[in-house]
Amino acid sequence: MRVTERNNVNVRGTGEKALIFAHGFGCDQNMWRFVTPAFEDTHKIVLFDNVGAGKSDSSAYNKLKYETLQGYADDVLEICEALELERPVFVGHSVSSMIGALAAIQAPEMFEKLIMVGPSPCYINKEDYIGGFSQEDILELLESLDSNYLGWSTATAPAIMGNPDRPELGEELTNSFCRTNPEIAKHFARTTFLSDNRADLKKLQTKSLILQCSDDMIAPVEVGEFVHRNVADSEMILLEATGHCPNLSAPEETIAAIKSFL
Amino acid sequence: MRKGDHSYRMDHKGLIEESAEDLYENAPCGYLSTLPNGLIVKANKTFLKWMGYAAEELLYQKKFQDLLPIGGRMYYETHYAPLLRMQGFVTEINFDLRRKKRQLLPVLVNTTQLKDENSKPILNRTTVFNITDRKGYEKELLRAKKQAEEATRIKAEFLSTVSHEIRTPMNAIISIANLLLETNYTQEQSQYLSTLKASSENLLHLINDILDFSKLESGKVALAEREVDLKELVTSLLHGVRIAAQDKGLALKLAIDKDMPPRVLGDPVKIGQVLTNLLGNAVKFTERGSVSLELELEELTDKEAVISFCVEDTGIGIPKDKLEKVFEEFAQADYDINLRYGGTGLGLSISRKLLALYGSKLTVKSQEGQGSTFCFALRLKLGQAAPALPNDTAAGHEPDVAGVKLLLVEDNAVNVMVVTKYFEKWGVDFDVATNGVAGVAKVMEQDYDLVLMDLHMPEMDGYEATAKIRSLPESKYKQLPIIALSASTEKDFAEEMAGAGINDFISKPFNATELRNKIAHYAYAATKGLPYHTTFTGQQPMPTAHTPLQNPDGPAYDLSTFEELLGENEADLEELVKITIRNFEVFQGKFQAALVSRNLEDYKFSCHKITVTLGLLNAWRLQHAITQGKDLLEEAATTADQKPLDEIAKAIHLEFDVLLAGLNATLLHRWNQTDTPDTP
Repeated sequence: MRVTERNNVNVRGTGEKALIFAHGFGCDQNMWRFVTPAFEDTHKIVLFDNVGAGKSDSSAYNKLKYETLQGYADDVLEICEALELERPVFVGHSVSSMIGALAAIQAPEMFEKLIMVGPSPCYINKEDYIGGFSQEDILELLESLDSNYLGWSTATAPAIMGNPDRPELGEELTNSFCRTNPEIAKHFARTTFLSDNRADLKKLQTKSLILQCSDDMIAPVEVGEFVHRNVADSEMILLEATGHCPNLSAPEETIAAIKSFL
Repeated sequence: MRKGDHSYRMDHKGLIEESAEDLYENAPCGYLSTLPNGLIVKANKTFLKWMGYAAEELLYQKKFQDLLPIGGRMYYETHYAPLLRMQGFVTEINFDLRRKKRQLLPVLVNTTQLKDENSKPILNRTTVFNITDRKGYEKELLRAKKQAEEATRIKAEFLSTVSHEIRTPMNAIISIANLLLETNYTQEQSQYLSTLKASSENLLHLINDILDFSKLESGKVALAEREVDLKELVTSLLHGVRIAAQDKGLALKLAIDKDMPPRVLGDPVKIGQVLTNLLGNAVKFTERGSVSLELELEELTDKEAVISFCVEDTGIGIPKDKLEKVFEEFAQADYDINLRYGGTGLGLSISRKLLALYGSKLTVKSQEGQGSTFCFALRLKLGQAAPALPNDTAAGHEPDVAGVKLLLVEDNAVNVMVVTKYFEKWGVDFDVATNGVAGVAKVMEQDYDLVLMDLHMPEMDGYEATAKIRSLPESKYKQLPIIALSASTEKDFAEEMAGAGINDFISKPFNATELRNKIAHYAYAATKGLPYHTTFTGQQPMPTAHTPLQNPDGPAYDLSTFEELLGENEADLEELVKITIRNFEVFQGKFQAALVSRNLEDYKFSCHKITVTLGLLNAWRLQHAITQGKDLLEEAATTADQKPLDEIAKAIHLEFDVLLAGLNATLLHRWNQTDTPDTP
């Protein structure tokens, strides 16, 4: 299977230099829809879906491979190779920040720069490390995934029952941006929220930018600071934006921060 | 009139405004308005009442996400909020809201986002439905679903167990019928015997169908990937129906695309099963004319090929309205068919399910009275073009087994009789032991070329007996070929057999030719002191397996011996690695359990079983840890100190983890495979 199909890779933009945008846990490459237009005149934009998300080929999902974030990092490197990208800049949101970091550790020459939006190397509180969550919290999340995927919600109902009466809702709504096969979503949640890549941060040599939101329950400020302290060549910008998705809630601020670093 | 009309309308307007307000406040659903960041700025009375908050406690005080328990908040941040922003609306998201008094309220939430002229979100409007009752129903439905699935599973298991049990006496019946046919009998007896043989073979066929079906149903069937010479495969399949076709005077035709790749990767057993079924049906339902098999190459790249298989006959055909019905289980086109032709009606259903494993579909075209054509296409990876190695069990000649010295360990008198009759015919020099203990004793008494071992026996079963033989001090006991005989299918017990050191397996009811070939294969190698090709892991006589620990600090393991053993055969190597992984997963648990319960006997038993495999993998570190554990456990009888045992348990567990991780990674990187066992 071709890598570009597996990961539903989309390339646009007119520039030479490539910017790879990677989405986090929950949704797909549409997460970047308010950010990428600002770079299309100056850069080559590479968008993709992690295997299992969006329009990726979920038959390529393999529990063993994606048991750790390294499996996703391998995919990122394969995409770069398939597209023959020259020292691109990797922009990862949420868990994809760490996926990008792992890829950059594995192939230190690959990326020119790394931009991490709301990164967390470890979501669970451990000894004197504050990740923001307990193990039980993660189990609760898995449960809410369960009820939202099985709860007859109309976002998923068409997948179960077809949507014969309202064809106009077909593609656009039902193919909504956050739909994932429930089993894969749960496994990805487990892989994501149980990951502990704190020790890897020190191995990261690539010049990095951390974009930290002000009131982010998924990746609190302490976590962003931890990443900043542990990645040798890093800068951190504290955004005014709140929540976990500044790329959606505050695209202008996010764009400005990325531009300042490029 | 006009004036009156107007005032009437005015009155209504007031009424409408008033009732809209009332509707908002007291509607049977909650209404909320929030800022884009979630801050609640307006809420109706219904919502406040449900949640137990006063307006001033909520408005401009709390965000919507503050009302969610932590899992829900994570869902809010990662799914709900992004989806709302991207889509502009969100429908029927299920949340549990935390009331002021802490209990949870299950709700469905619909939200619409209001935007300003620059399409910047300014306000979210949310409707909240209380679904407490529905949650109850959902729970009840889920419970009922689980219960029904469990019941189906138990039934399927029962079916499978019973079928296994029936196969053992069937073995006796068929074999005795065969033996009787080789004695002197009258014309009348001959007829009886032929009927007996045909009926019992039919019965066995049926049982096998049921077993296949129940396995497919329970998802226990996985595809193997082996090098297959399709031409050879289909030729031998046609050979299988040749006699039946000749009896009816039917022509058998075979057409193979001239560009067909010589070797592909596939599961010859499953592909063969489907084609045998189709060919068998074609012959069965055709009175005159021909049956043809056609293989066409539809697509060819440097990596894979798409090949279509079609079986065409000139038989009775299938009426149009029954075309789909023939694929249903236990269904034939009509009742008369069953009366006239027999059969379970499972064959096509099994074929369709098997093909589904390949992502392929069996299709049919037919005209009543003219004939039928069944087709399917497979996408198969290309194999290496290397010719097949000459094999001493190849068809064509009957290998000579006269004079082979063999021990049969079997407790069932009927089976003993059947098997030994064949031995007498073939001139095999044999002894019989009726249980594992006697078998081990015999082996120690005398040298044999080969042991045939029943797996399930009283006192000491075949696994244990084999393990005992393997653990005898002299090296010849590690090399003695031991072949298991069992009514279970090979796959179910490959792991245990490998663990015990069994070399190969013959399924009961056995096929005399297969038995003879296997005896010849192993006995010949044994008498010449040659290495023999084997089926399972733990058996190959490897000098390294018993060399003392050399380097406990070296690498965790390597695959070099495995590779030496199997040469270029990647498929077998892959299978070997898979088996080893499963094997180790089992032993990891066994060692822990034995250490925790201080059960020296169990511990040693596991040691025996795993030593050879560890030797093959050059896994000295784990071997070292296990030996240390054994020493500690022996000492532990005299001490209460648990700490060293805990430490060694941890070390063993860790080493297993390292090995398993490494093997799994090999599986993934070398063959892009994950370990998915055939049996749970």
